[in-house]
Amino acid sequence: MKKNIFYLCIFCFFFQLDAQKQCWVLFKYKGNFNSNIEIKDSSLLPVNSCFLRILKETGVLVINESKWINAVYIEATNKQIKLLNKLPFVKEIVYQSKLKISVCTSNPVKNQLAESEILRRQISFMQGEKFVKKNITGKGVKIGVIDIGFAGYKNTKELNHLITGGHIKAAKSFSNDGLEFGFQKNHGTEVLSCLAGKTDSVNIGLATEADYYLATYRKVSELIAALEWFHEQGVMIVNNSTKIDFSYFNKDDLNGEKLLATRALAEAAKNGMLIFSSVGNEGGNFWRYLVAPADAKGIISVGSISPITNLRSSFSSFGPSFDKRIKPELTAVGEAVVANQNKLIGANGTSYSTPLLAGFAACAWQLHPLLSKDSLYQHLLKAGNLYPYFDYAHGYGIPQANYFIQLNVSATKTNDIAPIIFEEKNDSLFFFVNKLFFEHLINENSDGIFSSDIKLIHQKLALIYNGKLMKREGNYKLKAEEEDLNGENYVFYHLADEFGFLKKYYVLKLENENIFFLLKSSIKSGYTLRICFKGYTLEKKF
Amino acid sequence: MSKTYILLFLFLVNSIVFSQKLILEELPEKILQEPIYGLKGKHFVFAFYEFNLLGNSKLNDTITIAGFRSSVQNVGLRYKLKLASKMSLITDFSYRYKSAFINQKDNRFPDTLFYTKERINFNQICLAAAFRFLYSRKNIFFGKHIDLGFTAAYNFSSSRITKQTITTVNSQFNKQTIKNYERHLNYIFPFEVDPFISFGFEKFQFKFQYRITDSFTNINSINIGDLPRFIFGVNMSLIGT
Repeated sequence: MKKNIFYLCIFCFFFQLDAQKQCWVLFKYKGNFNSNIEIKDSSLLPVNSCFLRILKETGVLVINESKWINAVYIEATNKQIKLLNKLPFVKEIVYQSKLKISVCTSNPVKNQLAESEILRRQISFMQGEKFVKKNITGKGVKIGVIDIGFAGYKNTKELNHLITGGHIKAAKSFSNDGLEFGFQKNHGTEVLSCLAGKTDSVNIGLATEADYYLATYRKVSELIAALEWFHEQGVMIVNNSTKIDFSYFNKDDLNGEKLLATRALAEAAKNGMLIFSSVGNEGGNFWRYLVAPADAKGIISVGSISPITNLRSSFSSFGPSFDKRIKPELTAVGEAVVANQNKLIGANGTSYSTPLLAGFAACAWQLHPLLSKDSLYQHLLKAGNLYPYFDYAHGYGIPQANYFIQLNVSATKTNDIAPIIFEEKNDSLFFFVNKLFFEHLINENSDGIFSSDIKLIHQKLALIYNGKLMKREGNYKLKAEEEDLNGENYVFYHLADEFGFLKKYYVLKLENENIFFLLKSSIKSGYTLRICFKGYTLEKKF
Repeated sequence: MSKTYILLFLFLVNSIVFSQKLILEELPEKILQEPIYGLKGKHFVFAFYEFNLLGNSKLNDTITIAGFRSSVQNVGLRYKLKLASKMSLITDFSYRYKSAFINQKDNRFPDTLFYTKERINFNQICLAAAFRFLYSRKNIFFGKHIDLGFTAAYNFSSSRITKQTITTVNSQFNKQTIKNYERHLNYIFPFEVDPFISFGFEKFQFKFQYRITDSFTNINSINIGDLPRFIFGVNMSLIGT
């Protein structure tokens, strides 16, 4: 009988009613409780001290407080929590303390390219070398990097210039584990190298002279504290290459509202910081979908593209957010070369595409310091190589440095010839490649080889020949490098409904000058078709 | 009819003239749906391993066993069907090996002799069904769900092993061990039904079972007692899809 009682005790242990739990208590108001006035946009005001006092009187232990989400993080028993639920100023009690935080890295895949070529492409796909040529290095921009560990960042050769130049302004651990913890303790260092690393000859990231604030965390509550700390330090750009494991939520939770980490990132964005967050590496598994906190509103979630195909990496997660906002917003090379304390290594993940873009944004901000955070956000989207086309795998594409370099130049040279044309015949719409566009492109660069081949080009479909010739001819290597993104003849097209939500989207590799045709009657009125080819987007409303 | 030909013609034109290499095709509405298969899907199949201990009881007819040497182990496949957002149906098909070491101090089973060691083994094929209820974290301390169901098992083989060490004076050895195997035991009840409750996570859960059927039939109307009815242990998922 005694043993039975013992087993019963074990059972009750797991179901114990008086167990201490950690949770967030969200408040309804920030102002005077008695006035019942809800003050909006008051995120900079501290949590109401009266509420805190009442909470403490119930006997709960207040661990942390957040002015942004107007909440306190507490440890309490079930009885105490039931009591708190009855308080009139308590809006909600949220249990998200045990969510597992991990990093957005994927298994390395064997890359056909040499390390030096990947290094070149991870910068040149954003035309980053143009920033480097102009000596734009993110100087004066404060970047906050939040991660789970920065092991050996002081001993990393590729980050040495940050240490000697005094660019690491502060490093703080919000967990008890310090700056170096766990299996993925190098992750933060690798991410930092994608922001600011440079070898003797080439850059790994673009923001080599920005000022950095490093923070480590293990729990959502610590993430919130770290973001608020960044804000106090005047950080302008935040890079987050971590995620919450998707086993903790369903797809409908990713609406930018439900998870606290997501809300915190959105609040940080509201408070003037430009946030970059990895969209996730679940594209290749059954989940396929983005992960939190990439669903936050007002942030830029970043997907990954392959440096070989210029298209979505197989691991990069798909959007949109559950409330149908565009996710990911932008992409960068995620199959990258990164540095840690030991050596340069090839690494895969949206963890690495995110800092590449954050570094790019720092350079853009240095170039245009008068831009507000919101206008920089908009310009970054517009700088995407696919813009105004978008889809839920590539977002608006890879932002281009040229856009920012020419931002204030009033008269920019434009090519009037569109690469796509269409014809309407009865109920059908036929979309073709415009050969004139290629002739124009070739004539601009002709010095013999192209000119003599123009006849052949006419005979053998201009676009295919154009693509191959660019790669083959040594004389045109430089041009081909500049045209990396347009080297392949990819056509992106989507069909959006009247609310802007994509019903479907495709990427085609052109092998024929007739792109495709559509029956107009098969498309509902109000829908919009966008076709993007060679950076030009054709839009047709139905 | 003519419309069919036109459509066929258009299809041919499309496939010949407009032939492009499709790199990516996505329907975003599909991505927003919860996955059909897998851990978070409507259907989930995975292998599991379960390790349980038998809990002794002081009831009159219960045979006392050596608690930590006796075990019940299951290996099998589990299929989970999501019925609603907070409710699923679980079905298991498994092989179960039950081994009970009979304590010789105060019980004799099924004869009146004392042995140095005595063990009874069961090999069973099990079918289990349960309803899984997901609960909110705020109400219960441990895990994400609770399962309520029962297991039906068929004993396809059983054996009893006894070991007796005898001290012999005249032999060249001081001790002699007699090990005896008995199979096809005629006093084993062929079926077993165990209602159970389990709670925890998808990949790890605690399980508590209570056997409602008897393990043994009576031999010549003599009650030979029963094994402990209470079984508790852990269930771990291995690989799944």
